[in-house]
Amino acid sequence: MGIPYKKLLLYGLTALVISYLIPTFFLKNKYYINLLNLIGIYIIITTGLNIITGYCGQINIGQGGFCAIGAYTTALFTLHITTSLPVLLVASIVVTGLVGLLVGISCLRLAGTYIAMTTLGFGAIVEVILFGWEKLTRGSDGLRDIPYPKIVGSLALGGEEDLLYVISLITIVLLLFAYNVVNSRLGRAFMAIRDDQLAANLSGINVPRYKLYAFIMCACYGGIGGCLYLFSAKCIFPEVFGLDFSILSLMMMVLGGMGSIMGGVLGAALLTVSFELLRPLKEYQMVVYGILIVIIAIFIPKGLLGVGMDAFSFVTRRLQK
Amino acid sequence: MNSRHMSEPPILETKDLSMHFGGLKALDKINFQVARGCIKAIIGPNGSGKTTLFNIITGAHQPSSGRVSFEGADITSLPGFKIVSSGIARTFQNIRLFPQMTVLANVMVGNHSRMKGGLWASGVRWRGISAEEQRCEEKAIRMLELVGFTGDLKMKSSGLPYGSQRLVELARALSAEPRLIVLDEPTAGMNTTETMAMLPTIRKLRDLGITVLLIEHNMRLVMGVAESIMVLNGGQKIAEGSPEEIWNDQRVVEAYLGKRDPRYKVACS
Repeated sequence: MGIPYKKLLLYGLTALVISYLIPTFFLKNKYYINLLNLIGIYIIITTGLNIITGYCGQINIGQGGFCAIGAYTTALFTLHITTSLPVLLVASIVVTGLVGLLVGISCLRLAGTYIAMTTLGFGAIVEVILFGWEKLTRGSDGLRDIPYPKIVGSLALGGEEDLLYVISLITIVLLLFAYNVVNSRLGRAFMAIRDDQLAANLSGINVPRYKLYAFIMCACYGGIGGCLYLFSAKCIFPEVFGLDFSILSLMMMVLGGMGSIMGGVLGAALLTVSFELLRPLKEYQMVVYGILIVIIAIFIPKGLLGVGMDAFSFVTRRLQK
Repeated sequence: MNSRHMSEPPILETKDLSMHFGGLKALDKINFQVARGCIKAIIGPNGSGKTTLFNIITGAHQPSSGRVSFEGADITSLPGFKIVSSGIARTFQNIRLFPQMTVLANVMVGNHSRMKGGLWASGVRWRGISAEEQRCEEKAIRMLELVGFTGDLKMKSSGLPYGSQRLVELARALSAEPRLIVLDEPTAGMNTTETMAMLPTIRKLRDLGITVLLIEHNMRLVMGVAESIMVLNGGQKIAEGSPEEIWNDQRVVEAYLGKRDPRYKVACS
């Protein structure tokens, strides 16, 4: 027992190898590299959402708001102040973390659906502000022509491939961080709050404090996702991270499996790919996803990963007999 | 090991503790003490304020007036989680486990207040975190053994049978390393075998140096295990003393069975 270092190392190495192998195969095809970038970004965003909603039980329908703030912070910093990637990451983490703290504080005394309403409102407010504050955000024109950032000194990213390495590395680091957190004292506190707040309080957990931790973590992951998205898309508009996106990220989490980091990863990867495959359907895509989420919520609340794990343990138990 | 001197200050003490819900006096000026290292029971008919008293002691409710002090320190206005870290843990009348978490995780949550790892340290597995996790897990397993839990540690706690859930809850409370454990009807809903198995467990806690305060309806258990009993009725303390004294106390009998009508004296006797 204890901490499965070997397992973690295995996950990390596999992911690294995959992310380095794939571009060498598809090097000529920027479409696939962009798709992989997008998957990494969505994995980060979904993981953040999983912390607050899957683990801590606070329904967040405003994840897009955090992503938008992260993306716009990065864009404004890049255009006006610096293009150094570490600085940009730190800036988006700090800004979204603070916003996450504020949203968390306003949700502290609320329960269940009221938190969903508050976060929904937060996402909508962010979108309206981004549309309206034209001096800063140029409104619906968006911020365009964002250059690739520099890593250190004058070493700049050269293109999608370089960005893929950066995104893969950050994704793995953030996944390991989240994995460690949910398998520690904090993760247990989150889950205890999700399951029974009163019992959590009377078991020695400072409930408001850990709710805020979860909110801040969720917001920072969203912010980092937004920051990386900006460099992948090279432009940002207010409606990119609107309500549609918030719901999409919820769907990724629910599809893969709520309350499971790897479930979120699976959901994010699957939905990103299927989003591309179903592109011919245009706006009717949302109909497909809407039906999908209802079916999953009713028939497989554990998500695909949960079902897969059940099937796996069923088969292994059968084989042992 | 558990030498008890009358001169030693009580571990828990309430002063004029009152709790009003609107016009209802759920508790009315309760004064009582729990001596360190003893097993004390609170009994009383339904609605007499036992659970309310427990909720106030453990910080789930704020009293309307009065004071609770634990080991000499005032804990009346402390939030529940701080009371746990100051050394009081509890179980619930209607079991409150974390249903989606495994048995082991449930018990490990109990140890929360004794652990240090913060967000950063946990996230990057900073020095000592892994060892702390390991210790917490070993401790949880020890506590489950102590209360006599035999079953799958990796199972979701909602899938356990009722009696086992009670044991897990007790183990969770013990993980908090309490000096006073507050048990709200530890055998409610248990069958006779399970109830009788609880008796030595409660004594074992006392022998470990943990003071036990319990609410119990099962008189056989109370008379068998408690060293001191307080009786509540309608929010007031009507008697306090050793099991023998309580057994023979006229007011207690009246509270449970009602007054004997003198007109039917012949028929009753």
